[in-house]
Amino acid sequence: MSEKTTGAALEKRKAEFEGAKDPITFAVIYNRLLTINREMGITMINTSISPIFAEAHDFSCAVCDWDCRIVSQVDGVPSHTASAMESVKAIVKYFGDDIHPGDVFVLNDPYMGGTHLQDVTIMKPIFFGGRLQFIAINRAHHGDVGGMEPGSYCPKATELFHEGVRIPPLRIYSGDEPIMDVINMIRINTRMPEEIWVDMKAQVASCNVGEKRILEMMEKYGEEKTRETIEDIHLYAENRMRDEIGRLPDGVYHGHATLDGDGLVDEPLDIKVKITIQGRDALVDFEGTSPQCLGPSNSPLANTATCVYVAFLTTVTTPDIPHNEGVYRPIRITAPEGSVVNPSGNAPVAYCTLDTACAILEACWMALADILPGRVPAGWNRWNGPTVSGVDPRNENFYVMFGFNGFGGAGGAQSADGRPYIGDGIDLGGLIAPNIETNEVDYPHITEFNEFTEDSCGAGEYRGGNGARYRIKFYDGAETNLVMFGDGRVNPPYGLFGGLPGTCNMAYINEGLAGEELLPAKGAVTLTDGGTFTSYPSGGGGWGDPKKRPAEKVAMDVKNGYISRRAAQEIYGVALTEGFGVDAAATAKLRG
Amino acid sequence: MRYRIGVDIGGTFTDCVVIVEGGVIHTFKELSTPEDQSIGLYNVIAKAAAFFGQDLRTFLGGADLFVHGTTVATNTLLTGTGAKTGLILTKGFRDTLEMRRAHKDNIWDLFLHIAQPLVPRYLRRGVAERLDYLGREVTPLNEGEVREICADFRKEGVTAVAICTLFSYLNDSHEKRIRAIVEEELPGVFVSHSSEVLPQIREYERQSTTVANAYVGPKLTVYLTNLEQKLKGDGLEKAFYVVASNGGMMTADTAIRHASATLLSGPAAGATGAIFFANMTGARNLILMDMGGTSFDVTLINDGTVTLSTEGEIAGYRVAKPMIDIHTIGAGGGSVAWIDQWGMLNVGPESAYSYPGPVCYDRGGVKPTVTDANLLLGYLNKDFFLGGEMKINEEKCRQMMEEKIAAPMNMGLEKAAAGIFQIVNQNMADAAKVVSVQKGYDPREFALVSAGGACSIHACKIAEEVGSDTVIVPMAASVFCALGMLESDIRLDNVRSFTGTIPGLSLEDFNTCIADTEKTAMEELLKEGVETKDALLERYLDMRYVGQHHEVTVPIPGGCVITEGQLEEIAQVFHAAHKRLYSYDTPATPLEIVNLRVTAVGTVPKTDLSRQAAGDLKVGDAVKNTRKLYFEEYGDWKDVPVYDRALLTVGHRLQGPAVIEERITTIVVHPKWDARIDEFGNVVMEIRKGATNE
Repeated sequence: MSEKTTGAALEKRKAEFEGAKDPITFAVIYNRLLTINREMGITMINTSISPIFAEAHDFSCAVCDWDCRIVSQVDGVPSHTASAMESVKAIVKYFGDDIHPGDVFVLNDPYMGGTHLQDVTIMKPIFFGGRLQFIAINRAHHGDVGGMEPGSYCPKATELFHEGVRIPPLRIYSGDEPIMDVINMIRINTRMPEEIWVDMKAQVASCNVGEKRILEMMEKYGEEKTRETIEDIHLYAENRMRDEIGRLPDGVYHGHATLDGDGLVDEPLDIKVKITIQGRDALVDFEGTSPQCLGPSNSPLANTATCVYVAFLTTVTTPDIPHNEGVYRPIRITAPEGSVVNPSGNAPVAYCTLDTACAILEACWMALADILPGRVPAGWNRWNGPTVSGVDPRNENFYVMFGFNGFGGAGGAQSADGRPYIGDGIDLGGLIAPNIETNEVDYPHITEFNEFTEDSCGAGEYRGGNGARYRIKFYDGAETNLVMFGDGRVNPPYGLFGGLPGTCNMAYINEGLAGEELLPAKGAVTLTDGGTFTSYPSGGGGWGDPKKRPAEKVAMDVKNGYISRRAAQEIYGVALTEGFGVDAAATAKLRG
Repeated sequence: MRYRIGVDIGGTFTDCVVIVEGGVIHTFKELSTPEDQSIGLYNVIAKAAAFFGQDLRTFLGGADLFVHGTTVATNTLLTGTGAKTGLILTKGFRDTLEMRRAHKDNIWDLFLHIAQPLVPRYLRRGVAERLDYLGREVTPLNEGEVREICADFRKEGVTAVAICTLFSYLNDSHEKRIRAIVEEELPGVFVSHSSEVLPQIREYERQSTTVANAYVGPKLTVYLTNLEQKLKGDGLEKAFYVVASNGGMMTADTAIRHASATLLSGPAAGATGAIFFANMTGARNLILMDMGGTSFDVTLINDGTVTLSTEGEIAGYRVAKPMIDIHTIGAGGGSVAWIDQWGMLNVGPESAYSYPGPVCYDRGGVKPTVTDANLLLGYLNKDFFLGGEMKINEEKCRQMMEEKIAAPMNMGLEKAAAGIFQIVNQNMADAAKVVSVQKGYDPREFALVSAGGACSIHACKIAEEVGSDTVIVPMAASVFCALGMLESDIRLDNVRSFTGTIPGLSLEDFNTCIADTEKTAMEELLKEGVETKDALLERYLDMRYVGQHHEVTVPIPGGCVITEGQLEEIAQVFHAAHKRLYSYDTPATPLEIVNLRVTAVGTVPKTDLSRQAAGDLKVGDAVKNTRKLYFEEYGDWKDVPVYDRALLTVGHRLQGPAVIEERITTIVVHPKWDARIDEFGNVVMEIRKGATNE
């Protein structure tokens, strides 16, 4: 008999936790830490200059304790969850006792606690009573860190060295003063040395706010009480996660997802996952996953672990659970060394936080779907946007524009259709799209359309959200460089429980014009004289049998143009009258 | 007798304030009538008229001013009962409204409910037309398509139409032409076009605001038009004004055209109350806290001026109209305390509302609330609840607190109640920090103003948490909003997108843009019945460092042609504002101007409130009795004196811990705090010198 079925162990653990000495201080400190993380985030949004932070919120703020354990975290996008913990460990391991008040450290190396090179983690140790108590962390995705292509997504990269500057554990401030010679070494290796420095300073400012607030908190509660409470906070989160896992039936559950390929070798990459639920523990194993690849689709283990955590945090638990080290304790992750989810050597990794992350999340969601049918969604869109760069003919400035328009849809789930136009799965809607007007003021192009694509959504009782077709036209005579780093060209968002998959991602240059070309999911192309870029991102997958979707809802979907009359008839089995009414008799016949 | 009348519609009560020349204030209350707010309004003014021994016609006829704070627009949005609205936009961009810029409030919640678009997709229709980023025509307007769309709208029974095309803020010719065709094809339909409602870059925010305007417009039109006619018919001769989200007033006609500008009319009136209060007492830096049954609102008043934000979200819809910057959290007297299954004590956001209400109301509520905790700690008087009107079941309260909170947490009843008190105080203090610390203001330089019945029990502890050393409980705290309305000015906001950089700005273009905007602004203001001598124009710029994506709004010199020298001053003002907000500035970086804002102000003369004279009673004479209160500082109960506020007069001083009671408001003067009565009858609490505020 497993632990959970007796119930005794559960009671025992609860009793352990409820032994917490001061539940009121516990609640107060727990909430205070979240407020501190949020304040760190506001500082970052308001002081950074790259749109990727200020508009898209691609960063996260966290606080680690003296044992390098994340205590609290507020994320802009989920892909930062938990992985920053590995960066802190690397710093503490390398510097040991040589860590002092007023120091600031940086790191981005994927094989030393980073994810991909664009994610630069800034860390500031916090001392109280002469002892290292906490570390404030700000991890942020920078617009360019060097490498073969502007934006540092480099489709031809076959070594990490091709992707930009590698930063091992490094001290960049001492006594709260920047060590400029070291910092300049980083800056000179990027295409936008000014921007990266301003944005790094924004990260430091964010950590400084964290330090100030934590010290105020420790003044008030003292070292002993604070540390005791932190242990309780970990235990509380662990207990919650264990309880949730404990409710799942014991067993072994399989999931898989396929990546189109790494963009260099025309071969699909398989992500295979086996989730074993045993009592109040979960074991997640990636045995059978494809070996590491030549191109940048490799996902370092810290990134892989993050995707697993995201799968659990979105389905096994409710959204209000603390995101700290305690919550991850019950989940053990193993992955074969040298695989695409645990690469070794100097394999390139730039796509790991997008495409590969989406596929890992999908595989885990699929494995959990059988035991959590009401919580797991059908597949979301994978990334389909380009990085666009060139010289703006209006002012001769070099620019890099990220493709944050033309988003895809979310998957349907029991009781809810997927949201249209929400972006890729692993970002869970964390990225924010710029307005067409500001985008056209900022970058040299005109947008021809950005609106839902009919029938892009996977059919289902709860259908997927629509993706949005998107076309921009570049100025005549301008030379434009497009780098694609998406996926899902042949592997659409999956359907669940009889729901159908969404459409596949598609993208073209000069669609319908001379020189029309289907773009690869991953690759670079240069337009020498104006031209257009068009994308058709996938809609989300459907959940449940489309024939069970209420006919009136299907009729409204047709009236609203989310789906076509033909899809209503052929897939949903709903016949419409001349207008948009339901032809009840014909529908009954179609639905059998 | 000369006087002004202000009526504010609240969720429960409709308040009326009459200020008589010479500064004497009279207040009246009646229950609100949500189905038709004008009924409650009439009830309360009838009560006021009776008080003055006048019939309604004489009472209304004698008023110098009638100001109204209404929640008609807000309720229409909240309840989804607005007009069937059609939207005409640039072809190819049909879904801007539903896309919501892909924003999601909580990324971790896969099942997050989002507000459905106010216009369903089949009523969002694209028309061939296009302007480029400089406002130049790329594709001419296809007028035939507009007429076809109108025909479809007619068939669908659309009663309001919103128009929003790309870059219309630079060139409104297409939108205006579309409007003309719509008015021709669909006579009687309410129409809003974005270049009138909000001529400002960012089509999602502009479109969302224009749609909200059209959606609530017809209902607001009917309500205000009928009310104004009725009031005029019943004798009102002078101006009838409505309170807008920016804390100013506007005529009913303007409110109808800018319906979306009245969406925060109610809470904005509260902020005007605080400004009034700042002017009255001379305390220029205030943080206004209003704690009701379900929510806690905070607003910051800096140097006598309320902070405005240029946009916000109302009922889940983006509205980019200048609105008073109010931060709201779900914490109030009715906030429920609960322990999750893993043992953490939480307070709110769930509320017991007024029904069933807190356990102690004995209306069937079984979940302990903040009010229950306050009762068990002795802060609330069980024998004097709502002045004794409400019977309290203390036993049941005690029993539920024991069962639901104290026993599961394995702690004493007082400890549990004190824990709830502490947690809700922390939540409220964090909300106060959002409007202060997070905006670069140091709360130590601000006094807290405590409004709302329950707030003054918590105010000292919130002050300790944020680091403020003064708490003021205003007289007439319960009709604060209606009072403030009567002392506000007419304020009409105008915005124009203007792109330019410093250095590199064409002063000629800039001054032309200012002159144009000011001309329109002044014309609008004079239409409000303002005389030229009372009119003034305020200018602001939305600016940022080149490359940034978030703007800071800064005031610029008014009443003159801007010179090179003034540009330098404007830059300095911007750097200072940026530094205050975000802790740094970079004076070497060029600046970018995004929007020009001109606010036309019609000043209304202010009342000089009468000051109270010291009474004959000694402070000790105001002590009603003593009662036991529990304080976490002592970890124990303590006998404290209870003062009757009605007997406290100017110059009285007392030491905490103490209680000051009146019918609706209870004030707890916590340990380490002293209280005094100022010349206007406000209770001022100050932390005792020598007592550290940590």
